[in-house]
Amino acid sequence: MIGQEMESVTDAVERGAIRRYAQAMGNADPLYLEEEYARRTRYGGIIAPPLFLGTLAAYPRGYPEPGEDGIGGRTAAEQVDLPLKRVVVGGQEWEFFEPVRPGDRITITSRLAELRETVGRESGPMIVNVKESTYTNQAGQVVAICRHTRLLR
Amino acid sequence: MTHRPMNVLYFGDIAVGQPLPTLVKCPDIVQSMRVGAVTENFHRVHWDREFARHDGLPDVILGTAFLSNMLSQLVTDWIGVEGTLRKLAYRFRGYAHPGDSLTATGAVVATEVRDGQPTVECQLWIANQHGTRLTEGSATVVLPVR
Repeated sequence: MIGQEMESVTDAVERGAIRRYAQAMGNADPLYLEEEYARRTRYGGIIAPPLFLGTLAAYPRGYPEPGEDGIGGRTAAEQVDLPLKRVVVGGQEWEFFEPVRPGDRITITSRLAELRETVGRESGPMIVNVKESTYTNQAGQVVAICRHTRLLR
Repeated sequence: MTHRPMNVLYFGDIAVGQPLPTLVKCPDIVQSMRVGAVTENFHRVHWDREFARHDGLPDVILGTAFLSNMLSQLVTDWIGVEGTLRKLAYRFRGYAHPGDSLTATGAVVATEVRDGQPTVECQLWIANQHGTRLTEGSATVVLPVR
């Protein structure tokens, strides 16, 4: 199970999605919003904010639509079938290698990197689930790697 | 058209212990909904107060993407367009609610030329108006040399 590839999905980086993301986060850096400004920088054009990658492929085809509670997509699909009440995002570790630009097609390949039991100080027993996702662009360059820790209890 | 001055942060101007600037955000429930929308996280706990209270929470909670992006923005605003964010790691310790005043900041913990690259490591954190740390993390950046 450990090391097993969980999924591989491809999604497009859209300029409008970058703009909406930056605005929703309250980040007005013109590098994400203004082509004329961005062209004069060393990037030569608009790039995506680093963590924009985390929004890609949230609802790949065939994944569950959100239910009445609003939970669906990758969140629901990745829930391990265990008698646990809550799935909590523990944290993430990102490494960035290349800028991400509008028009890029990013393929996300994920594998289960770690699965272990632990006991939280306040929360009691839980399962630590670490997923490692590699983000590769259409040119075959690895643009980022993310290790995503989930706590199931 | 924004005529933003391209401020440059140089490796030589950084010392261990130096504080990072602060980034303050006061999200409301509209921003919580908006963050959920752009991250395609539609969980009611982020926009439905009744649902959140039924779940035992005092109010809706901001999606964790909002907090991680505060840390990312703190760093990219600080290093400017000539600096490069190489690594960003964070752990979530507590919930942020609409109406909170959240302050992201940090401190430089290491500076060294690594594999020929002028590299700076920082600790980062976000605290709410009660001083409770909601998120803790670290960043590695590469900066230009004067």
